[in-house]
Amino acid sequence: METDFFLLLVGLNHKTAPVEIREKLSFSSAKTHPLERIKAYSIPFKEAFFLSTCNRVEFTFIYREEDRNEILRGFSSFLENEVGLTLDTFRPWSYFLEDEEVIRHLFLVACGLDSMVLGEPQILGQMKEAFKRALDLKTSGIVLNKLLHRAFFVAKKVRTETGIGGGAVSVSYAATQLAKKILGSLKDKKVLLIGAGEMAELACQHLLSFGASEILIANRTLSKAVELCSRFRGKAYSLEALPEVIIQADIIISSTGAPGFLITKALLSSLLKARKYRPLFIIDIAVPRDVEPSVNELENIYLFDIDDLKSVVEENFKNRQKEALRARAIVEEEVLKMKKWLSELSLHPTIKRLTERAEIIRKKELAKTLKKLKNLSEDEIESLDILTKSLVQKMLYYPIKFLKGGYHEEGRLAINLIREIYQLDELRDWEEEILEEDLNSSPTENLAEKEDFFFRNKKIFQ
Amino acid sequence: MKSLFLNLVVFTYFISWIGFIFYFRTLEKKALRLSQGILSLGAFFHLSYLFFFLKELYEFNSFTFKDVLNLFSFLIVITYFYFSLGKEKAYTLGTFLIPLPISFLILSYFFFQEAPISPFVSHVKSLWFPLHVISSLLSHAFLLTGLTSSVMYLLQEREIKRKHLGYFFRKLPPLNSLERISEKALYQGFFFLTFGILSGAIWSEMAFGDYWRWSAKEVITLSLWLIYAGMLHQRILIGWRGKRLAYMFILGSTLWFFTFFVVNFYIKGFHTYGN
Repeated sequence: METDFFLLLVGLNHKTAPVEIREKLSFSSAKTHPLERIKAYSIPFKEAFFLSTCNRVEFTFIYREEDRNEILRGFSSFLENEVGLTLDTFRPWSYFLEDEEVIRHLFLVACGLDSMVLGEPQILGQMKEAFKRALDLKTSGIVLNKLLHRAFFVAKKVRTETGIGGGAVSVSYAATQLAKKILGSLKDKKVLLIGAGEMAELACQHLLSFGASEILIANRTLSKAVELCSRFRGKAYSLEALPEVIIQADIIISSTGAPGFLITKALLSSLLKARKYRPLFIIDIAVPRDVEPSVNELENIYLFDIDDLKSVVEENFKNRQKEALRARAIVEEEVLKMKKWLSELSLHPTIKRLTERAEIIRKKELAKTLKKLKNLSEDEIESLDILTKSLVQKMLYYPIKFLKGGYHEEGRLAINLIREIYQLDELRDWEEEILEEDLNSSPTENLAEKEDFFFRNKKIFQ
Repeated sequence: MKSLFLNLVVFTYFISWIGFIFYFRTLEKKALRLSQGILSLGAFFHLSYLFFFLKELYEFNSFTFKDVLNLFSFLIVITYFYFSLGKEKAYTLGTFLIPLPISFLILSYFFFQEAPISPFVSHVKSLWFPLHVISSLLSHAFLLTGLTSSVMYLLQEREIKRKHLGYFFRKLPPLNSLERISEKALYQGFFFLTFGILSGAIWSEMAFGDYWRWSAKEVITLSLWLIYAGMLHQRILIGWRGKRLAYMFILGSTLWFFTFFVVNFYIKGFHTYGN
């Protein structure tokens, strides 16, 4: 990458480090933000970003080439003082990424492609929060602002263009999704819980948060049901009353410890007519099962036991892995764009390229003239050479001064402008070809041909 | 002018169908809105076409089976808007429903160039005749919409019952919405079919002097009406729904298909085209 800015990312995640190491580094108990404390170590970074979630801890630095060693030294003393780890003990648990890899990594993290649960959306929010902190602490500058905004953009793009976030990957979410696909919405729907254990309680909270209107609880010991009902404002029943409660319910979650089937096919089929064939979604999370499996054959009755739900989740997970491949292709595309942006931002490569360009033109024109003027002495040739050189230098003095003057916050505009005017981003292949050939052959050879090629193909001097 | 509009209609419907397919694949809201917009533009062109057709009808006093198909496809598009603007959020309905009007239009374009002329034109004397035609066709349009949502219901139901939540599970609307659409289609279809039969009878009395003749088409339409009435009865009183309702819709549509494309041409008699 041709740039003034170098990127460094040091971090560890659930794949590289066990939780004991991760929690040491999480800085979650610290009163001051690590970015604030790292300032005390006078590390010569231009910009810095710190991301800490329960599965990863990452520092990103933007620095100048000459500061590289200083950065590493400063960071290792920061680690030693704050965490009590030397860089060498830290190294096996961590990853050190540079430049292009940093861009790619941040994009992948934002998309949830580096997460434990593939494609999970929370990481994006956490990254946004971390970015906000970096902005507050003024450690984020022109490069990081662009890089992170780009990462958020890529994450959104990946989410809409691939199915990376599609399909439930947790059992409870899979169950809610199924309920919605069967019953439309959970509003005005009655949920019957059979068994008043911890599972039932969790399910209750979940379903109420999705808008279920009424909770009915049936339990072997009525008192327990009553107790749970008082908390969720439901109605309590004993197990003997099960048939009449089933008639009312739209969703049944069963989690008792009963040894046999509580709901049999015979029981349910006798209730179908009384229910007016309304659809009924039964989730059987009890082991051994509470509901006879053949109940699923009945009209408008949909039974899922715990294994069914698990296999749904597994299948969704496989789908996400397939989609992740597509997401990676999008990320690669965006990494290229980001690289291009970074190189546009750089001052020194621009100046270098500009002088190179001028030198090529000078040499070519000189050779052309020398071809025509045949009877020149060595001295005369030399003075011609000096003349052209100083002409070019004088001409370039102003654009280079303009470039350096605009540096660096608004400098991007100046750099862009100069690159546009001199078309420094084009003609690259051709120039390289010439440069190579210059090394191999005498400068006067074939120049006319190249000239032609130059005009025909690029027409830059019209 | 007229044929220009017709071309535009087929073209815009087709484009919007492609949009609906894209929506089905991506579930992107923008694609849906765009294809709905294009579809309504198509419906506008269609309306303009029908306006020209009406003018011609007034002048030449003759219409053919081709025109009936044309009007019918317009009414199907109208039923799409009726359902998609309603409470049920079953937007992917368009992906399955829009091919119907397109294929009817193309059918009328290619196969009924020399379409048989309707036998009744010279007898049109009152408003009851257009009412009879439009409400009968509208009832058929609702029948086909019900058929579409029933097919979608069966696809979705199969995925859930088999516990294999694949491609269709995510793309298709909830079972409940699909069922509601079938149910509404049933009510509306029954209403318009009843009205179609009654208005036809009244008009027949005015034009020919009797209400009912037991011609093939009348008999089959009556049985279609009975199927509708049966469905309605079971739905309201016993609570038939879901799969059973879907199968009833398939039965009804098969019967309708037979009446519309077979009886109309191949069984000679009163009420059929081309004699």
